[in-house]
Amino acid sequence: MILALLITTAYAAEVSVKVVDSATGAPISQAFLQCDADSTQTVITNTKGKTTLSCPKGSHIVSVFHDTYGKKQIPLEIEGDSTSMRIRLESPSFMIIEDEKQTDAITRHVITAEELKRVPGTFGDPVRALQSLPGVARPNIAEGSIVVRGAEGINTGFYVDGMPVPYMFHTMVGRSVIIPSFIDDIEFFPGGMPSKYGEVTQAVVNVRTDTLPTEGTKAQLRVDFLDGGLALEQRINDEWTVRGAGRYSWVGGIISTASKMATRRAGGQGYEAAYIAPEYWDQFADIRYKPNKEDELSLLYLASRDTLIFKQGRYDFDGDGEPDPLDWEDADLSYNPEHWIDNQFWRTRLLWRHTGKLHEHETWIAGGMENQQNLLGAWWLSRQGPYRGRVGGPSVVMRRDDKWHKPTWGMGSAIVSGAQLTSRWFTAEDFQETFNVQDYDEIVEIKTEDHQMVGSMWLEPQWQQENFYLGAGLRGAVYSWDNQMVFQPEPRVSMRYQLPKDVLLKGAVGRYSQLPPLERYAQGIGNPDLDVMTAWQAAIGAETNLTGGWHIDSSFFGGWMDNLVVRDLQVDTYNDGDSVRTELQPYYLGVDGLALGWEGLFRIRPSDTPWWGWVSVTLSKAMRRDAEGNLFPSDYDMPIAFTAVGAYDLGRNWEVSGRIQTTSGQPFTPFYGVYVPREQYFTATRGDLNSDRYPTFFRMDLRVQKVWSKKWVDWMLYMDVYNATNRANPFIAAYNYDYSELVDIASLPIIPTIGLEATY
Amino acid sequence: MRRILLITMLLQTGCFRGLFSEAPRYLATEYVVDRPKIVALKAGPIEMISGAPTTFDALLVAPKEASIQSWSVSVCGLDPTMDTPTYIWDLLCFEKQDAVSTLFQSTSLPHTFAVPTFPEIDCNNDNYRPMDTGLTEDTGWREEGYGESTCSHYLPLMVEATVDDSPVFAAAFSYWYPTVPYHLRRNTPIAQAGIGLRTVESARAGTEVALEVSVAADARDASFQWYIDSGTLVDTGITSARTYIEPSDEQPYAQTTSNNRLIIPPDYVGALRVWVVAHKPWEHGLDMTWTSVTIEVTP
Repeated sequence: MILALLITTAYAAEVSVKVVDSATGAPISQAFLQCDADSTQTVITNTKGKTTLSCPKGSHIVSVFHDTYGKKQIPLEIEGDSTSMRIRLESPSFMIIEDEKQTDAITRHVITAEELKRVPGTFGDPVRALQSLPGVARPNIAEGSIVVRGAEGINTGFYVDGMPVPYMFHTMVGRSVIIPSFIDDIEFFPGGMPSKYGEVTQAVVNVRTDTLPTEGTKAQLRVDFLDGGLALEQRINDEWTVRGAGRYSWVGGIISTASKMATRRAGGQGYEAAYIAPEYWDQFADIRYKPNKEDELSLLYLASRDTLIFKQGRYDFDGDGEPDPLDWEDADLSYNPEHWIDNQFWRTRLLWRHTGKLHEHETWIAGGMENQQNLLGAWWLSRQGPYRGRVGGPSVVMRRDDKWHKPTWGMGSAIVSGAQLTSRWFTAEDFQETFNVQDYDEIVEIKTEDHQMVGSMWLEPQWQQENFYLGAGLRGAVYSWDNQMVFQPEPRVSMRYQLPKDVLLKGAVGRYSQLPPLERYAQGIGNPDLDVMTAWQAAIGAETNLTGGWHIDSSFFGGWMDNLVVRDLQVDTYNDGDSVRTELQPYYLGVDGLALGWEGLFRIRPSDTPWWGWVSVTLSKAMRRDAEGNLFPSDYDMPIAFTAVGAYDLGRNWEVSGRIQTTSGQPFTPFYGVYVPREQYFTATRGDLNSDRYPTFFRMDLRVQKVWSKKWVDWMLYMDVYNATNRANPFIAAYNYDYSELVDIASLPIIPTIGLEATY
Repeated sequence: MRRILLITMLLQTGCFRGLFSEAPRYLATEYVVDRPKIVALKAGPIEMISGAPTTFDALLVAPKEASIQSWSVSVCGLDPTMDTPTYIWDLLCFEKQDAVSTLFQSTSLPHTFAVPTFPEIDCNNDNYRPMDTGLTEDTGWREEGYGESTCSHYLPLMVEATVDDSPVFAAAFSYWYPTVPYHLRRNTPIAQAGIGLRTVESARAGTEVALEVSVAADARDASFQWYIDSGTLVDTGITSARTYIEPSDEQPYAQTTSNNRLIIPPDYVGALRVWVVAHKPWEHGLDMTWTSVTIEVTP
């Protein structure tokens, strides 16, 4: 026996092993490892997740076991005298949605990014997966919005680590502007936000990149047919951490090359090619300095650009061998007419975070620039941002958050307070007239400049007893805009009560306010009569855990909204001196809104099965009332919304997953055919606003992925199939010749995507 | 730039205004009446004269069981105080409620109503002047080539019928004159011409029957549109004039005919209606006439 052991040891190789969390890269201690299942030697990882394993040369199946992370087996081929390997254990947050109980919000979904990336149909983007949650309306595919509980898209605020950003999604492509590698989790408040959240009347999406520690070195490369990105993070020492990431799309280059090749093949020149292509990029970087255990300073930089380009063909009419300039190129335009959509922003933030035993605070100042340009006349792409115009400018935000823990009131009790000052120097430019003129000498660009200032303060005592939580907050905001100043009080109360048998009751009520975006009230492209949007929200519900791995979360919600900004269309008439034409243009209305509904989330996580899933159901009604008292459904009124997500572990690191989403058809304003007998053709007249619906929406997405490790690199290969059944779900539909039937003209077909991700 | 403009216009307006549709081809084949549709309009006189009593009529073809509940006719852009010529070329004007005037509502047609009065139109005004319709800009200009009484507005009419609780729309564009213009006194419109449709009174299912429409006017450049309850029109739903007879001492009116052939479905039994509308495309929007017959189909 001793001899055998000596012989084995003599031919053994030394394997340096590090075990880390697959999602965060954090080291995992107390993980047990064996060369093979029948090996007599077992080693345990230290606090840095490291250990050394002695294995004979040859093929092995290394077994890893951890109390929390469970068991995993990895094939290992040993040829030399030593080798090393990194083992990534799947996060124990097996289920995607983790409601954090005992918080200051009645409903606050904290969603781990690593799991959300695996939701089918999102192309690996975790933020898009929010659209599968209860209470979230299914948006048009081309829109970058999260529409929640019967409000409008502009009533959802987007934040990155608590810092507001102007938009979250790239147009058409739909990817979020935050590079997924750095997303630790996503806080999602569908309503009933605590007092520290303001300037938004319905929901908050906070993408967090700073909740998990950075350990050592981590690099991630991710490519697919749309774009490629590289993320690097390095913990230099206990005090300094740096991170940086970039993503650049190449789908536009692919389209450009293909278009030029096709043009040449047809006998033309490459510069004659005309095409439409999205182009975008994102940048992210931060430096963190932690001088002691309680304090941290960080400098964050975030930037994004999102363009949809219509490249005009150029021709050599004068025969000089060079393409002639386009007519608009000689004009002194302040914008590029080929950039149908051109959104960009950058932010920098300096933050000081203090985490004391009884007092925590965050103090930061952020500044940056933003511009959103939309020249596209397709109003259905203009629900967010301007319409045939541009809006933007510099902005500065200063903020202080304090939290005093009050253990004498009960463990978990605290007083939360804070203040925020936002200042925006925005300009809205109306290119409407510019866009239609034939003589560029006659161009008149209409500009509206405004300095918006919003100052807010809040104070919220939070009492936490054994089974009861009460947060009673008062927030006040002063809005200075458009030569007016108003004060908006925002009282908020939230409660939780823990019943026996793991049943939690919860309820919240509060008032919220928000400025309309400048482009909505600017002269020329907006409605100057708009006012501050306000909303009362209330919700009551319960959640419980049942046997068999079931978790149920159910809530009734209601929202009463005043001065809500919605879009209608109005007739505008244009005269270029030769002819007159009329067309429908977006027009912004200030309306009242009412939303009522029930939402349920049913999650299942059987303890000993290789599958998991969840079902979200929303039954709701969202209505609007204009100044004349006319009632009409909201753009996103979907009385029934159902989403089911499930995944199955096939073994050998293969996983398949699927998502089914079906909702009521989206309301739209119908057109009635009007026959003109003299000309023998049909034109149309509009019916009542949003008085008809598209057919029921149905979509199934599928995903299959394979993960494996090779030396220090973890690989993931995935195929995501969007709309696997190739169902034609119109997000804008046309009528047939006599307007008696809808015909689909705009729906996304089946889109398979293959992606590769490598993490060091 | 124009290309951008064109494409964006298509993106914006083409989605719902039929720019992508193939209307002429469809209209020639969509002659079987399977839903209510207003296919012809006429007025007497065929243009609107300020204050004049006018008889308005429309042909609504519909399945046999359909019930017409009401009619409503309105005009857009008529300002009874405005003396500037106003031209409106499309129906978006009807989105402006304050620019819309209801001419009459009735449970049946034809209906006689009094055209609203409006002042003399000043043709000496600038050929571009805004009009207070609520639209951001409107234009109009002097119509050339006519005498003193030819200044007019050019405005859209919207005809709405309620059939089985659902709206059915048609539209026409007509001239609005403060006084009767010369050309209306001189010409005889098709709308006032006699029209007849000759065919068999009864036929067997599955057979072909000949159809001939005759209009007592010079309708050589007219279009004849046919509608049937069921079956196939061999010469499609749109035909042109086939014969023309000059007016003579024996026959004071000209006579124009057009022909078609109907194949009755082999399984059709009962009354089979045939309508035909005669009008001159791109001329007066309310200068039309029509007639219909019923063929008793036996097995």
